[in-house]
Amino acid sequence: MIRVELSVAACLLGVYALFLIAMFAVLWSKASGRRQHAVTTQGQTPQIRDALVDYLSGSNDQTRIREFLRANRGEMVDTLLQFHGTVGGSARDRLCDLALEMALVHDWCRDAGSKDRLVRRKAYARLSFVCAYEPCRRVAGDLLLRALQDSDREVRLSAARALVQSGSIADLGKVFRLAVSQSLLNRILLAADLRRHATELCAGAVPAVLAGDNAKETIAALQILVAWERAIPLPNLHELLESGNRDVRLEALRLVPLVPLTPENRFSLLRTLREGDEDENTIAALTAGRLRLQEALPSLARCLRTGTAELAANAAAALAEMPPKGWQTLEQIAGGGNTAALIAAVALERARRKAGV
Amino acid sequence: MGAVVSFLVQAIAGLLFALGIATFVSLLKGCFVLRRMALAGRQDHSAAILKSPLAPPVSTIAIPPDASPESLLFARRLLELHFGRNEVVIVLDGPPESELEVWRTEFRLCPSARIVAGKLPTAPVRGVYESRDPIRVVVIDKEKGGPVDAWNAAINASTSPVIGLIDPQSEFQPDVLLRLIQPMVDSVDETIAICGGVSAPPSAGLAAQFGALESLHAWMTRGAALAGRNRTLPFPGSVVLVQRSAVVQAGGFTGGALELFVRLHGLALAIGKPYRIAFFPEPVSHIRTPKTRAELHLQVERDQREIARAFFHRVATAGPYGWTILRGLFLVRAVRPWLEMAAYVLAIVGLAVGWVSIFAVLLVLLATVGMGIVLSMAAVVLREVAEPNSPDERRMAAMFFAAIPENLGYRQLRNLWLIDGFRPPATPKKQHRGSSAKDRPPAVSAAAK
Repeated sequence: MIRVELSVAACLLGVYALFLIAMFAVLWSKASGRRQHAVTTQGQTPQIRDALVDYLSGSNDQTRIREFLRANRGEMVDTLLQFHGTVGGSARDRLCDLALEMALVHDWCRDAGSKDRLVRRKAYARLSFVCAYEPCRRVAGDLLLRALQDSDREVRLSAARALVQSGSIADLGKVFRLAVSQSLLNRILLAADLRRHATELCAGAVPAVLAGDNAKETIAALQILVAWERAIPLPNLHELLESGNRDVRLEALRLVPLVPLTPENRFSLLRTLREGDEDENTIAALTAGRLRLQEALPSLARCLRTGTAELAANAAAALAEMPPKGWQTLEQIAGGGNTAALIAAVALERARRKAGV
Repeated sequence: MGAVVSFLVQAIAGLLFALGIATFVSLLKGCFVLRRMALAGRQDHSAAILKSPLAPPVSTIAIPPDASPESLLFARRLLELHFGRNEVVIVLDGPPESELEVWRTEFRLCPSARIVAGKLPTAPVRGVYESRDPIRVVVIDKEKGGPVDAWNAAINASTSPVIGLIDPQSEFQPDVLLRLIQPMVDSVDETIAICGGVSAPPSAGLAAQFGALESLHAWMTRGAALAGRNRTLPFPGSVVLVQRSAVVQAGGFTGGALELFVRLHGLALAIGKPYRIAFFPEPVSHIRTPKTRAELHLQVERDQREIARAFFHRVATAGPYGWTILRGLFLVRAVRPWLEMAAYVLAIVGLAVGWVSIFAVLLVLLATVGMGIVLSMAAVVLREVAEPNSPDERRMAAMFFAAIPENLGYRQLRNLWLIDGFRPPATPKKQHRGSSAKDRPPAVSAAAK
């Protein structure tokens, strides 16, 4: 009996080991081939780059480039795309024009219709690079707009980035709406691209989203505006500061220093400092400090005396931003013997050091 | 008696074959998961995340055991991580004054106004320090309470919504946080933690090859295979990002990262809300390849103790889900070594006394050594099938054939290490952790010293 068991086990393991060895041999030869291919193409890449640099610096001789394109199209395309982010202006236009002339843009437009999402991703990533150039944008047509509805996140992202570079105001609005409806990662990626169109967006798309009744999108839109870190014209922020949704109020409070300080905004900020909860007070204290809002001094002093540790630290920092009255308040509180006194003393010392006093 | 021993030997061999097949299935699942992830493609958006103020800040925690050059270097490496808002929280667990002075000098520390007022109970904090230099480091000086207590103090002191846990024994890339945060910001509501890294690369020497195989097994089973069922567990050398709110909700640390993950899984399963603990198989981190047998022993023992601790605390940490989450690891890391050693002893004694035939001994060898060789070879092949990116086919070949010596001597030695390491953790001495953070005077008192 045991002999049978042994024979069966040995046969099964033996066959399996042979199968693994055969697979290993195949993988070994593939890995070897890949390494050799990498060595070969690595040798060509500097030459292709040199040819492209020559072309970008004014040479109109495309002979070498065409040879490389015939011999190693993939490597040529990859090298061309490596200039993404390193060239701009006329050099970029020249590069895009070359891609158009070599029919690469047409290839990518064809690939954009592929059912394989990896092929689509690659195609749109490439198109997003060249679509800054108007003739390429014309070739792409409404492919980019259609791609905003694609099932793949990366495709949508590439299309959105391409549209931000060359799209109309209406297209920018669509990209902004896409950004607020997607994940935080998408917002991070698109916020940077949309920043330079902040003024145009604040004239139309932003107020439309903020006026909508989707709290999640409103919060996302406010996050993007805060992330722009630039002054923006947004006249109705006080409506969001008085919103019934706490998360909306918190994000709106963060935005206050970036919009014109209207009487309504000032009133809402001071009211929040008086009546808000701990988190609201914490952000409001930071904002009041940034705006050096003298009217907030009594509320900040109260927050410092009675607030939790984080709130007290923020209130102290805000008071430290407002000499001389803020410093006097800190001095008074620092005279005590409690935690607030220690926080006030540390904030005051830091402010004085910063001011060189 | 002879018949009983013979039957026992055959039964154990059968069980070992079954365990081997289960391990192979796990490796296969890992291969499928890795393949699927590779096909889905992964874009690297590190540059955009680095610049964005929308990216959540991260607090990276270090619990140095002393003030040795290695500990200082590790803290320095954490400070050099590429990330927009990375704060390094160093917790010194009851350091003598001389050690504290070393840290003070190293980072030019001064008392901080920061308040350590978290919800997790810990031993009292004696002081909080920040650097005079423009680096974001917070050093917590606390009374001795043990490593778990120190982890919890670090969570209390952290101000970021995301906590980074990096194994000091790992080799990590400077952009590890930038890469790991991407799956988290892609699905903020669901992703409560991420575990990233790869297996150790092979290098010259048998100990290094065995270490690389060991690491490959852990990576493919604990990381990749379990990721297919959303049950990812940290593996040696992995870097972990976890939401601070999830750690606080779980009641803080009760052991190492493995135990925390078991707790997070258990809690999320008990609550029944959708959650994700993601696996990120990118070369952002890996365990150091051991150069000597002693280093290999240390790595195996350290991992085994963490598994044992998580297993013996499974009911307390994850309730009825503890067994479901850890049963695979228990069978492979605790049951199999015992079975193998029992089979060897019975087979040798039985053969000497004449109770078992030579065929039974061969069957045992096949179930242990033969199966082990095949499994290690399969791990190398399946990894390459999943992600055909081996930089050097000679290295792959070296690992593939290292499976043979691995199972002729080292496997048996490793069984002894595993048996020795899988013990219930000693009952801790009563620690000074009776006061919760909010009851204490704030650590800003350091400023008044």
